[in-house]
Amino acid sequence: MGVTDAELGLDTRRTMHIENVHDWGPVQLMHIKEAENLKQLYPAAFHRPTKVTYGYNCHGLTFASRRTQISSSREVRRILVEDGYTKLTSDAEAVPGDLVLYISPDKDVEHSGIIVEIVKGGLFPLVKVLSKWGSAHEVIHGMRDCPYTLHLLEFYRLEQ
Amino acid sequence: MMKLDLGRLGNATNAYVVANTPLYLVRRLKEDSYVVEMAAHYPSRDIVQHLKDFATQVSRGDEDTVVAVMLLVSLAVKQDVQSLKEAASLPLDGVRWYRQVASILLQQTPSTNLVNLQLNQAFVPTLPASPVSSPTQRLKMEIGK
Repeated sequence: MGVTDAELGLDTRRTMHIENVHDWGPVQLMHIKEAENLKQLYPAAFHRPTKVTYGYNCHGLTFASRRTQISSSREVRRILVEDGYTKLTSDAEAVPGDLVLYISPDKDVEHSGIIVEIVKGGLFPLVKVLSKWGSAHEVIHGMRDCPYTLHLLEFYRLEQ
Repeated sequence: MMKLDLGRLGNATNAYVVANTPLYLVRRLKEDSYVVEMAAHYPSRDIVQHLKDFATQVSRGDEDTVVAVMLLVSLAVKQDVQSLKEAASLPLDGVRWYRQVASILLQQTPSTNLVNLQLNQAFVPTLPASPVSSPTQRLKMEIGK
């Protein structure tokens, strides 16, 4: 994010343009090393064998089919409205395919992902999420096992 | 001249890599102990000068880019709006997140400077120099003729 002004033609279902950053440029070595460190920091997560890239981020995975970066919380909120997502009351309602959003105290949508599995049987169900951690690789992680805020989690479903 | 400890970039580098939004990076860096130390230890002019030098460098190391954003945030921690504006205007668009972080910091940092008010001075209201000095009063006078 930040070294290009290039955008992809990307619209909501209401055909309103979504601000995005289309940056498939070379990756800094430091980012590759740090992404490797994440594997040690989060050993319980499944680190998918995808490469470090600035091409898309978590919101780009969740809302733009891995084609581009969406880094504005305002844009994410607009997508939820204009695409017609339904907000769920809690994770108890969520099923695989629904979305989880990680909201910071200052209301930044700092992370998002797609729920891929809900493992029942323990004291609490374990919700597993597919997401991308910034410019690092994609990860399937426990909903609460990631480097993002757990201050407020919101759940959404696209019903049609 | 700033002497930076590249061994203390770990937390900032992690934030830089996993950030999905510029606000996330700002939050993480404002809490970073090394950024807070930079803000406390170095005067704003040294920080801005370091960024200016960096902006003119032909080749930049990966760590330099993280340091640039850390220094930018340190100016916000110092709440030095003028220096922050100067740093934001530097041609560092090639540094990932720099422009977005600068924009957020400028919005977040109070733009007013502290002014020492002489509270013990008598408050003397300013009165018009003459009763007919304002256009409204002149009009009233003319209507009342």
